[in-house]
Amino acid sequence: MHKVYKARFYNGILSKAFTVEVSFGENELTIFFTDNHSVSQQLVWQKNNINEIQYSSSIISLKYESEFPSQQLDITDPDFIEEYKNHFKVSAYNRITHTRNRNMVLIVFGVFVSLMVLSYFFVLPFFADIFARNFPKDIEISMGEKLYQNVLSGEEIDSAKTTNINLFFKQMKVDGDYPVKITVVESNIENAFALPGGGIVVYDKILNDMNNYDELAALLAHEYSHVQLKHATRNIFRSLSGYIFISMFFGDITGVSAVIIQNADQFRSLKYGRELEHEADENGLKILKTNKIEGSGMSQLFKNLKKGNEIHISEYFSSHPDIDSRIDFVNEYQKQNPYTTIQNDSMKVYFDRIK
Amino acid sequence: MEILNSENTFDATNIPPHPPVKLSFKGSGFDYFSILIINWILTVITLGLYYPWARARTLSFIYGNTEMENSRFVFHGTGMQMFVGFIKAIVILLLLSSVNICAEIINSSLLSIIGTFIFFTGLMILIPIAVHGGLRYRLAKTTWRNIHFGYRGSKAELIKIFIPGIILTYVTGGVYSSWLYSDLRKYIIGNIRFGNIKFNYNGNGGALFWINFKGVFFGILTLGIYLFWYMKNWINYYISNVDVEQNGNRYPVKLAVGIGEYFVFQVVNFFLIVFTLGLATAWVKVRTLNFFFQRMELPEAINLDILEQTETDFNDATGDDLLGMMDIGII
Repeated sequence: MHKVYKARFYNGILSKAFTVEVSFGENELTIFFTDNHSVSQQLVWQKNNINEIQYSSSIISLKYESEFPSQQLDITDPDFIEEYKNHFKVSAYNRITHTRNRNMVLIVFGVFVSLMVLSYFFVLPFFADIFARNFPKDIEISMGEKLYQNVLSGEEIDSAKTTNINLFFKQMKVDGDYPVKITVVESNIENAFALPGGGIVVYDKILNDMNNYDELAALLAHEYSHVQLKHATRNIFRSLSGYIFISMFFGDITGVSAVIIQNADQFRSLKYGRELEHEADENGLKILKTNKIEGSGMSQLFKNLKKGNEIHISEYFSSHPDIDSRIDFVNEYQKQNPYTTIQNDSMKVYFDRIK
Repeated sequence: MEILNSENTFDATNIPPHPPVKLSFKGSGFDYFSILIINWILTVITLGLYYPWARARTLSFIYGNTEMENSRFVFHGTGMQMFVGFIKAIVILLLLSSVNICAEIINSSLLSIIGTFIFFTGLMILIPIAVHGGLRYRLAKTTWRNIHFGYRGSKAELIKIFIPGIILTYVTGGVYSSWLYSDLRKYIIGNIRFGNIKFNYNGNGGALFWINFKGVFFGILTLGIYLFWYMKNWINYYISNVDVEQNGNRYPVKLAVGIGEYFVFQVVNFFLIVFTLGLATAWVKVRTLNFFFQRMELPEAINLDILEQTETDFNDATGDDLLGMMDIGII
């Protein structure tokens, strides 16, 4: 004799709950009840017509698929719920989400989050970098051109200085075939930056503070390194992939966590920015060495920058490395890579014209 | 056999009235957390394709843990129905944007203006259609003691309320929105059936406007502190103006939320979310359901044992998915 369990039966016609008893059979579920003439009756539900409409550790609801409306059974007996697993297939989803072993959910969650964190910090940057490095050069150049127009619109351009700075740069031997275009903009901000594809913008304040042409050579070597090493493009890909990753994975959880994680991501971007600056400093020094230009121009350039920016911000919050450590790096590089410098008269002429 | 066809067994006049009926939520925050986490993982792994199934599972969990008179609600919608609806919803939204996409490809500003016009006009018509479809699906798939809910509204009627209302709202700089909201609620709730039970909404635009007006005015004046009063007034007004109609008698739904308890409830929710980086969302949702269920009473004179099955089935989830995509809540 199979064990019987108490259940509630709904006939789909009226909302009255009928108390019945059910038992499992080989291929069926039998429902026992007493009709209104006190006669025992039974109903047989064939297993393959039974649909699970609710599964949890406290209740199972089943419906019998015949015509609309179907019949329904609600069973809350824990023994039934336990035996149900032996007769009906419980989906993996229900096994995990309704497990009494809460650790299982926490373990699945922990493993998944760890995998995501790993991919965020290691896999994602790796692929973003490969993608950026192999990004077609012509698209990069045309994108950079549009960006360049945008950046310069509304700026006061110093055309005489612009002509001379481009002639100055032509004197430098550099690798790569980007169409370098340098523009000098009138501004009292001490700054210069490179755009993807070859555009470089120099604010004239930084030029006014220079005393020697090797400082300008160092600046252009540094900025050109950003272009040559595709830093802007790599940075865009890195930020974009991080943003897509966060909004894809955390956007649906809650707005709050996505916002917090996005802000935390800013620190990662800043750190990446500092790495790229360091790479550009190093590559810039190599360019100076190739051109036999005094490397101390770069440390002088940093000293000028330091003078212009009296407010000290912790490196952690900045997109650039700390100026003192950059100066130390330049000095160290020069010690380890000594070379003979040669005065370049043409560069000096163009530099004097710019001044 | 009585158990199989007992439609004429009960006589409403012979059954003593129930004590006040209350809803209760039986699920725990951790149970809901498990559902959300597994749904999240599956949605991420399948690059979003699991979303319709996740939605069905979530609704199923919420409904399945809501209990009234010792019986749980059931959501019968399936992931597959919602997936088909999801695909149809994407196609509809793509069609609406198709002229704009063409304009972008051939770089035509005239076509872009026409495309934008088509998109917004289409969206204006699409919203009431989606609400209609969403209500039909969601309610047809909701049962309690195997008695289906249903929505009997007409698509054309809803469009007739929505489109002039949205235009008036725009023209009046948002003032008319209280009246539009009231008209929509009145029409939608008036067309919901639960077996042979009918619902009515008795609120009016004027009263709602006054609540909204006070909300904005005092909200600014008190630097946002009044918003707690505003939300509390709004919820009380909205729920307390719903009544349930059975056998020609109308009984009001009661909800009484006090300002002190509402303030504590919202502040705790806020801290739970912020200090757990959102991980406590599941617990907050469960707290919210418990908070309102404990304070809501269905009319005591209503007899829940004699509901008759009156509604039909409906399987098209497109409206429900469109609402999900546009982030519009209906009930």
